[in-house]
Amino acid sequence: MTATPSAFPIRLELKKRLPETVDVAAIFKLALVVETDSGCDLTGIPFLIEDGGAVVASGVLPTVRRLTRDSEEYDPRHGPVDLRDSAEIAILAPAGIGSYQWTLRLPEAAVGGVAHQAAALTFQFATGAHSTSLAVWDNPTPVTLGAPFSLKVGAKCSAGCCLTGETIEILDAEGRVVGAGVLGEAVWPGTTSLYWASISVEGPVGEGPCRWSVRMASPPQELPHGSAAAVSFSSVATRPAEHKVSIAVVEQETGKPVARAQVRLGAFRAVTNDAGAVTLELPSGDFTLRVFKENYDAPEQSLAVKDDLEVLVSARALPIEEPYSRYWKT
Amino acid sequence: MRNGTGGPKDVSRRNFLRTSALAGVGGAVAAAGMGSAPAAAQESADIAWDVETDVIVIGAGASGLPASIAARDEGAEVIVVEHHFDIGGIAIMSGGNIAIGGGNRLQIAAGQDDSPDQVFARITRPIEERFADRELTRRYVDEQVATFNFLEANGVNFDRHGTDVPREGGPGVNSPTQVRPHEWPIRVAVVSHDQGRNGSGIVRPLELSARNKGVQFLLSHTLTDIYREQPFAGRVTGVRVMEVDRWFQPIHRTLNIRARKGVIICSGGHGHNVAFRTMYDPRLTEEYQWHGQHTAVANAVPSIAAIKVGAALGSTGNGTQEGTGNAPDKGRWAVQDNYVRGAQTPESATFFRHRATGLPAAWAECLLVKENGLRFWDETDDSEDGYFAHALEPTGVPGKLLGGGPVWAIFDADTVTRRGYGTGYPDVDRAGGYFFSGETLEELAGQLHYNTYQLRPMPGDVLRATVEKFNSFVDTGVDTDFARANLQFKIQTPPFYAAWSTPVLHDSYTGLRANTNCQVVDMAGSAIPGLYVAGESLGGIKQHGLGRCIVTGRVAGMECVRAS
Repeated sequence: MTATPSAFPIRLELKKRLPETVDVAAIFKLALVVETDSGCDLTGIPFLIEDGGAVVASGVLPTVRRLTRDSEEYDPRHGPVDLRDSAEIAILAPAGIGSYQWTLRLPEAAVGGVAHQAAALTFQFATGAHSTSLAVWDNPTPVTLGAPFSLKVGAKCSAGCCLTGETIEILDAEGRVVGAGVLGEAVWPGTTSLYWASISVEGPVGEGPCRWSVRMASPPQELPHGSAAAVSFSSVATRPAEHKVSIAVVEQETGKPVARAQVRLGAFRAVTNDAGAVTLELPSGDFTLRVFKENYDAPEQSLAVKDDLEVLVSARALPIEEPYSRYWKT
Repeated sequence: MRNGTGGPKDVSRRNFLRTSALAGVGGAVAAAGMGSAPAAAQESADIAWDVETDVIVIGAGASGLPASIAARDEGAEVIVVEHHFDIGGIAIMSGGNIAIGGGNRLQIAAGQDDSPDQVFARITRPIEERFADRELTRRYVDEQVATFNFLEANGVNFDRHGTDVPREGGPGVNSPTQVRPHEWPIRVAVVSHDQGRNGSGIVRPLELSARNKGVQFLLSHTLTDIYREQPFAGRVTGVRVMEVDRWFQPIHRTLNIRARKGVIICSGGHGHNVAFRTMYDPRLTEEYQWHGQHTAVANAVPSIAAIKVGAALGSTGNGTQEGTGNAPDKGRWAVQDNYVRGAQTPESATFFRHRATGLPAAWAECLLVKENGLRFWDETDDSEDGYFAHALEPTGVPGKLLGGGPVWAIFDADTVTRRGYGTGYPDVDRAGGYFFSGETLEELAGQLHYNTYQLRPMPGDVLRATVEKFNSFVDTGVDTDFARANLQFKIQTPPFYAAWSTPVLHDSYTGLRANTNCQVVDMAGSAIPGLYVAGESLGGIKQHGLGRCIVTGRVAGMECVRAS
């Protein structure tokens, strides 16, 4: 017979490996296995984190989770599920770039009168500069030769740093700055930390496809940030519009208008309204007219635009594709 | 490092390993040649039987239900063993179209000229079905009218609904006649509601009829072994089954059930067993899911148990799951089992395994990239052979020379708005790693490796370059890489999304070899007394769907009892 221990040991283990590098001065999560044979819930017992002898953080253990095979979260689809009791501690990484070895300590603790021994877990991690990345949207296409246009640029820091006030530059293919803007205070809807600016860009000087690059003028200074890769965006430059082409899309069999059909005339794109109609303004030239709509088929046609035009497109309604239809195909 | 073909991550594969079946496959085949017994095979005399019956049917789906009724009609006592906690197999999620012709009552009423000879000619075409087992197929077509009558006699009702006129296909079609009952009217007994999943109108009436006739069902049990008098000789005498939990994980409580007349394997093929399916097509590695895997496991364990007592495989020639007529599905998005019509809503009893309903795909409003961040095909193209061949091409993951890895549909906030997509519960499976979002493309790419099958991080700069290039195609209307015509929408507005869009497998077509009585044969071509097979576990008939399962199920049930 083993004697009942005067104090129960606590087993501490990393449940998930830490990432190779964590962002400096940003919060990262330590997923732990926290187990004891006492049967006690260890939620709320104090912990310390030490770097060498110095305490760098302290707190109490957040909820210790007990997953069972009947839990909602139990999900063995990708392999055995770790059913050991676990808790997740949020830790602030140091502000300097380097490698660290820290120790998590649980001092002796009494839970509901049951004594538990002290426990410790040493873990290593490295810190690195935050990375930044960019997105460009509301990028018009086509654009008119020589006419300025505007678009939106957003920047994101991997640690969610506020990037308000950072300068964004837009460069043409020759590397000339043709637009600049400053990131605003608000983040883009649907994001947590994508700071953005609406930027006006000088119109292109040559006809045809064109490309610009976008960069953050200098990375944020307060904390180390890697320089964002320059992203690019494209458009196509056309001569100013001279003519109106009115397009009506109808169902071949019934003559009924086809609403919300996607229409494309060269570089010009639009969507039909409820009456199946749309008007595009464009310069003279030879264009290919294409119409797209799910479950419709409309043949491509060539269009020489020299004047205002009205075009009727007959789209053939296709039978609704059944998922099994391929088994019945000839 | 995760291995593309060997990782024990797959649920069915894990079961498979736990039951020692993997070792058994190679072991049994090798042993057959060398005259020694595989470790798991036991002589019947040693078995302590817990239960006795006449016929044991493994699986309660489109084959097992008719097999059990047919055996019962012949006067046998029957126990059906089912892995899931409910009956129905994958058939309960099926559209319910049964290819069953030859001049049935509805065809006659509709004035359709059909006969067994005509059906035979249609499903043994010189090119498309050149690998069909014509002897087995002949029995199949000869039994179709009788099986149609059998379905009606057992409560399947084709008459009340608008789909009771058999659909006539054009010349050369694989399945020219099909009949379909209505969805079962009791919602709680349907798993994929309101989507025309009329298979419930087949399996529920058959279940009711089977229970009324005295068939017994043992749910939540999986077969682990088939017993034969001697390792490779004599009668099949019974089975060992093990209880499983709601996730199909073994609970380790076992039963030995004696079958006085025979065992019928109706377990739905091998589509979800990576080791088994790659015998036929080595490209079908673990990233490819099997449609309906969260309802009907299709883990091949019963087929492997049969192989361990001497069964042979049939119809291996051209018997892959990918190719003309039996291609995998391009699929839904953002859910692991992304079979295009397999969507389940939270009211389904098996939703806890699916974890999401998934999104209906919008091919013209996305980019498809492989695990490396590169496009590989015209997203809007429906010529599936080309699509799947390219999707299954390896991408250069070190050590992975088979299988193409995950395919991700990349789209943006504008797509979500246009399509009205939900981006949380219950529409997409974020926690499982089948749906991700990012505020920039780099951030999006940086998360994808949380998916089990994304074996390395997707480089953010590669994904961004792919999207930027595609956006330039939208400018000009010309896709110089894959000639996609529909180029209306740029992928540009944050946040960005990646949804699982990896091909999902469908039929097996291949499986155990049987004679025309659906009796399993051994490597020498001799029938194994007391062992039968039907449906997706049976190789040889090159026709998709329920007709094959129901007809061969009925034949196996009938013949199993008559032979003894």
